[in-house]
Amino acid sequence: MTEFASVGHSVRKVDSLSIATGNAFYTDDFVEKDCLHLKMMYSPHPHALIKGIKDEASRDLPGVVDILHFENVPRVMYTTAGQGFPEPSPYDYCMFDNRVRYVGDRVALVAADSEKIARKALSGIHVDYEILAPLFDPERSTLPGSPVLHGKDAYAPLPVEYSPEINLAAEVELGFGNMEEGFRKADLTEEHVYYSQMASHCAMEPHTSMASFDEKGRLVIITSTQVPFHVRRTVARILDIPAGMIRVIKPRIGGAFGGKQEILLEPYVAYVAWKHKRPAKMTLSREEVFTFARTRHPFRIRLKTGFKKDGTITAFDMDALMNTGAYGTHALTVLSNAGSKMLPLFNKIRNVHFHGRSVYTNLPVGGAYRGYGATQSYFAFNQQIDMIARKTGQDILEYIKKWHIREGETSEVFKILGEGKEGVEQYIRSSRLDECIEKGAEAIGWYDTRSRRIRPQRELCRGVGVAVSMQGSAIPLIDMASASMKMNEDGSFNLQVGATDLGTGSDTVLSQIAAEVLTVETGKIHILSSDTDLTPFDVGAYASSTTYLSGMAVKKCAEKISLQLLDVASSLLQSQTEDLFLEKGSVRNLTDGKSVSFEEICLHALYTADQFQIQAQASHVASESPPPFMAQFAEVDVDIATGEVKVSHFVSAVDCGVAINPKLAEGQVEGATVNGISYALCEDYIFNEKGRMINDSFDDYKIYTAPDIPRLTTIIVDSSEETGPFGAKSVSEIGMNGPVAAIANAIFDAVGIRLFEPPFTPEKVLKALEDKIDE
Amino acid sequence: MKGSFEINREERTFSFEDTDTLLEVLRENGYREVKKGCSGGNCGSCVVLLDGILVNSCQVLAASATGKEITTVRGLGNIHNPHPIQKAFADAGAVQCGFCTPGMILATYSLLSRNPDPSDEEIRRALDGNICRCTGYVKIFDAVRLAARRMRDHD
Amino acid sequence: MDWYYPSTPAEAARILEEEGHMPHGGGTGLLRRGFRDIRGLVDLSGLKLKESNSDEDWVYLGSGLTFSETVETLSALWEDCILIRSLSRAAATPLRNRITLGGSIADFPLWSDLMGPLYALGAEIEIYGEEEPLRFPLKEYLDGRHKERKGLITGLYIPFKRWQSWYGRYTRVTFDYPMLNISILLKPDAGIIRDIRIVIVGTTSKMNRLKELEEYLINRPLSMADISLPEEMLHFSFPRRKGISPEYLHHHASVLLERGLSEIIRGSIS
Repeated sequence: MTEFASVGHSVRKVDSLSIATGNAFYTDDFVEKDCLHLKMMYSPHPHALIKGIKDEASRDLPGVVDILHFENVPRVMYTTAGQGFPEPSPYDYCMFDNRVRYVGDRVALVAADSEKIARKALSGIHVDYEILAPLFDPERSTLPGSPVLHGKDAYAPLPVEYSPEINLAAEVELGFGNMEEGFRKADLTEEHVYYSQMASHCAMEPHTSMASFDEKGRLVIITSTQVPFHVRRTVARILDIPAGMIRVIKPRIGGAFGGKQEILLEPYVAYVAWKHKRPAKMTLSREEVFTFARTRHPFRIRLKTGFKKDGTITAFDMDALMNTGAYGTHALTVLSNAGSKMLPLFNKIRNVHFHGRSVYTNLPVGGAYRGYGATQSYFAFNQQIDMIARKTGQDILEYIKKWHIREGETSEVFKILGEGKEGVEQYIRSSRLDECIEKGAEAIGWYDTRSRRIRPQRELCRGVGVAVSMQGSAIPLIDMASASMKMNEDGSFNLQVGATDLGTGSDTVLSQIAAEVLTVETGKIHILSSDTDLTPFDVGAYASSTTYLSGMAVKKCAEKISLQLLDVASSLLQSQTEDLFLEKGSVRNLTDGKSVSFEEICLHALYTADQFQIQAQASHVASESPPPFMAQFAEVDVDIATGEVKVSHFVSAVDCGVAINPKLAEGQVEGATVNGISYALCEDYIFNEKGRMINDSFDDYKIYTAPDIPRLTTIIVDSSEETGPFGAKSVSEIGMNGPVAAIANAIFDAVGIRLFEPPFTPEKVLKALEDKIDE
Repeated sequence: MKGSFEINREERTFSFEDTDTLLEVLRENGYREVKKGCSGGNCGSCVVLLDGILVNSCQVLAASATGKEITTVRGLGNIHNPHPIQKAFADAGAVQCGFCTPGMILATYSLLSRNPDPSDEEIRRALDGNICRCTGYVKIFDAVRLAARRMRDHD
Repeated sequence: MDWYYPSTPAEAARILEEEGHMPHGGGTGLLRRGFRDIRGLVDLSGLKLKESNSDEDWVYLGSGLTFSETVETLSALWEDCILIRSLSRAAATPLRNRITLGGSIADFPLWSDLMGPLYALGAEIEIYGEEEPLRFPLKEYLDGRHKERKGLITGLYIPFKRWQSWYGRYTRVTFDYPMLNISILLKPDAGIIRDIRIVIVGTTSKMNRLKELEEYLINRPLSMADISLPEEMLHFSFPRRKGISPEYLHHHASVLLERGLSEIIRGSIS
C-alpha cells in the first residue's frame, strides 16, 4: 500500500480525541474578564444613504459603553478578502459607511457589558435613511441608468480592471486562436446559459472574534479564521498600529470552507478593544452568518461550443457574469478561477475565448467558497460535453478520456490566467484521470444503468451522469508557507507552522510529513500552528494549498534538521556523514552498524559539547500548481410525478497524488461531495422583492443531514506528484466541483430533461418534465 | 433567579434570568463543550442529555430544567480516560472540525444505551438532528458502528 | 416575568386565566414565539400529565407526553396507530424528545405532524377550565366553540378503533417541517371501503377534511381498477411557501393523495 512509515497511513488526527472529549477550545469558548460584547445593527434597506444617526437613547442605557458608526469611526478603505498583499480585490469597504448597500449591510455597532444589553441597545439607535433605488439584476449592473453602488474612494490596489462607476468590480478576458474560424469549421454548435446560485457555507461554528491584551498591552486577537497573517496585516493598517503590536491566534475552528477567508469581525473587535482598552468579543448568530458573512458567488455562464461530427471541439466561447453582491471581495479571483481551473482540462481546443465580468448588486456579498468559481464553471462544462458526446453518438467516458489534458502536456491557459496577474506556465506531471473514470464507472455500475431508463418503481426513473474536474494545488509564485522546528531531548520535535487547520487535518498531515523525513512516529512531532507570534508566516488555508505548499516547507525544514542530526551523530559515532542514515529515531552507520539514538544526539547537543539547539526553518513558494483530478458519478432516481430527485449512489474517484493521510483525504472528498449534492438539490437564497433574504435560518435554508445521505463511494487512485511533498497534491476543494453537473447529467439520462439552474427542486424538475411533454 | 442542576454528576447552583436557555446558562458557567451553532433547535451542536434524554439545550428553558440531571460530552469521558464512543470517533476519522462532535457523541450514546446493535437506518434516525458540514457523515456512521461493536465486545 | 410551578391542573388553569400567562410543557413553541407580552410562565412539569391508559373504546394520552414518549407508549398499546408513523419522523430526535402533545395542539403550527392524524382519528381533548375538566372533539376546540379554550389541555382521548392507516408528507430534506401532510384512515370490510377519513394539513385553511372525496370512495370496492381522483373533489389550496408555488404544492398534494389511497386500498386487499 505504501512504502512510507507515516505518510500514506491514516494516522489518527492529532486533535480528534481532545475534541471528542470536549477539551478543545473554539474562539467563543475563550472568556475574558471585563469583556465588551458587540452587536451589529444591520440595514433594512437594499440601498440607502444614511443622513444621520441618533444614538443617545442607547448610549444612556446602563452597560452600554460605546456605539460606533460612520460619524465617529475613521474611514479607512480596505477589502475583507483574506489574500496576499496587495490584494487583487478592490478596497471598496470600510468599517462603517454613510451608505448601505444591501439588506444586512452594517450600520452601527453597540459595545456593551453583555450581549443581552448590546442587543437591547440596538432598538434605541435611530437611523435617518434616504432610500436609493436598488439594483438586483446583475445583467443590468453595468447598463447606463442603473444605480451605482460605489463612489470615488473605492479603488483597486493592483492594476486590474476596476470600474466602479459602471458597477464593474472585475473583468477578465482571455483568448487564443481564431473564434470565427473555429465556429466556421464546426459542423454543429451547442449554446446554453447556465446559472449557479448563491449559497452559504454553513460551517457549524458561526464567525467569532475576540480581541484582548497581553500583559505588555499588545493586542491579541483570537479568531475563527483561515488567514491569521492577513488578519494581522489588515487590522494593523485599519487601526494604524504596527503589525508587531498585534498577535493573531487561530484556536480550534468549527469549519470554514472559504467563508472565513475574510477579515470580517476582527477590525471591529480590535477597534473597540484598542479604543477602550478592554477585551471585546463578537459572535455572529446563524441568521447573521447568512447575510453578514460571505456567500458563494452566483454566476451566469453562456457557453457556446462549436464541434465536428466526430466530437472535436473547434471553438469554445465562454461568457461569464458573476454577481459579487455589494462588495467586491474575491471579485477578480473567483471569476478568473472559473476559467483558469476549467479551461485547461480540454487543452486541445485551438480556439478559446473567455470573457468574464464581476458586477455589483445590492445583495449579500460573495466570497471564497470551496471550488472558488470552478464549481460554477464545471457545472456548465460538464453538461455541455455530455450534450456534445450524445449529439455525436459517443460514449461520454471515452470522449473525456480522448480529450482531456495528459501527463507531459500543458495548456496556454496556465500561462495567461493567474490570480489578478498573469499565470504560470506548467506541464502536467501527474494525472490519473483515466483511472478515476474507469474505477468510478465500475463502482457506479455505469454501463448497467446508462441510457437504459430503468424504473426501480413505477414512477421512478433512474439515470447516471458523470462530471470531471481539476483544481490546483496552491497559487504558484505568489503564496508562501514556512515552518520551523526544534528538537527536544526525548527525541521529539516541536513543529511550528503558520498553516491553518480548519478541521481539515493539516496539523496531522504536516506532522506526518515531518515524521516521515525524520523517521519517527507522528506522536514525536508536537505541532503548534497559526499563531502570528510563535509560528512563521503562511498565507493561510485557501487555494487548496496546505498539504502541497505548507507541506513542502515542512519537508524542507525537517530535511535541514536531518542534516544537523547527521552532523552531531557523525562526531558521536566518529563516522563520515556519508555513511550515516536516519532509521526509526536513531542514526545508524551503514558500514559498521553502530548507531546513536535521537535522545542521545539531542542531550549531547544541548548539554555536552559544541552545544547548540538543533533547530531549523524553511520557506517554500511553489513554482507550479499541479492539479488534482477527479471523476464523479451520480446515480439518481427521478420521481416523474412529483419531480423529486433522489441521489441513490454517488461515486468520487480522485487523483490527489499521494494521499498523506487516506482517511483525511477521503473525509475531504466525502464532505465536499455531500455539500455539492445538497447544493445541487436544495440550497438557495430566497429574497423578497426588497432584497431581504427570507430563509435566513436552518428552518428554511436546508442542508443534508444523516438520513439524507446517499450511498457514497470514495476511491483514491494510486498516483504521485514529483513536486509535492512525498508525492502529494491537494484534495480539499475539488470534490465540490462535480456533483451539480453529475446530477444534472444523471437527470437527463433518467428523464431526458436539461436543467440549467440549480437547485434542482421538485418544482423545477416537474416544470421541465411538463415542458418536455408539451414539445 | 437561582437554580440547581446536577451536571455530569456534580451539583451546581447558578443565577440566571428566567428567559435564559439551558445552553446560555451552561456556556456562561464554564460548560463550553456545549456548542452554539444556531439557537433554533436545528443544528444539534448544543444537545445534552436531560435526565438521560437527548435534547437541544437551546430549546430548553433553564428555569424548567432545575433539579434535573444534565450530561454533557465531558460527562462521558475525558482526555485521560475517554469513553469508547469518544475513542471510536477519533479512531474512525469522524472528527474534522469537531464542532458537531460533542453533539454527535451524545446522540450516539443515547442510541447505543437503548439499542446496542442498531441498523444503519436506526443510526441515521438517531443522528437526524445533528448537522455535520465537514464529513459527509460517512465516517460518523463508521464511528457509531465501531463504537457499538467495541461496546458489545466488552460486555 | 414570573415562573409558576403549580402542582395540580386546576391550580395551573387558575393561573393561566390571567392575562399574559402562558403554559410551558418543555416544547419549542415558546422559544419560537419569544417572550414579549408574557408576564408569567406556568411550568407544567410538576403536573402528572404523562399518564396514558386505554380501555376498549378509548386510548388516553396525557398532554405532557412528548412525541417520542407518545410513539413509545402507542407502540405498546396500538402498534398500527397512524400517530406512530406521523410522530416518529416529525422534526428530529432531540426535538421529538421535547415537543409535547399539548403544546402542539395549543400552538397548532401550520406544519404540524400531529393535528392531521388526530383530527382523522376523531380525537377529543380534555381541558381543565374553572372546575371540572371538559372534554370535547378536537374540531370544536379548533373552531373555538368553547370559551374554556383558555384553560389547560391535560389529555387526549382517541377512539380505539382499528383502522388501516397511511401517512405521507412533503419535505425538502428529511429533517424539515412538512410543506403539507396527508392522513388516511381506512376501514375495509367485505371487499369494500366501509369507512374512510382523509385529512390534509398545510392548506390555506390550515387543515381540510376531504369529506366529499370520502363520500365518493365509501362503498367502492377495494379492488377498483383505478383510483383517479376527480379534480373537483380536490378542494384544497395552498399558500405560497418560501420558494415553492401554491400550484406546485397542490400538484404534489394530489399525487401524494393518489399514492396514499392506492397504497392503503391495495394494501388492505392482502
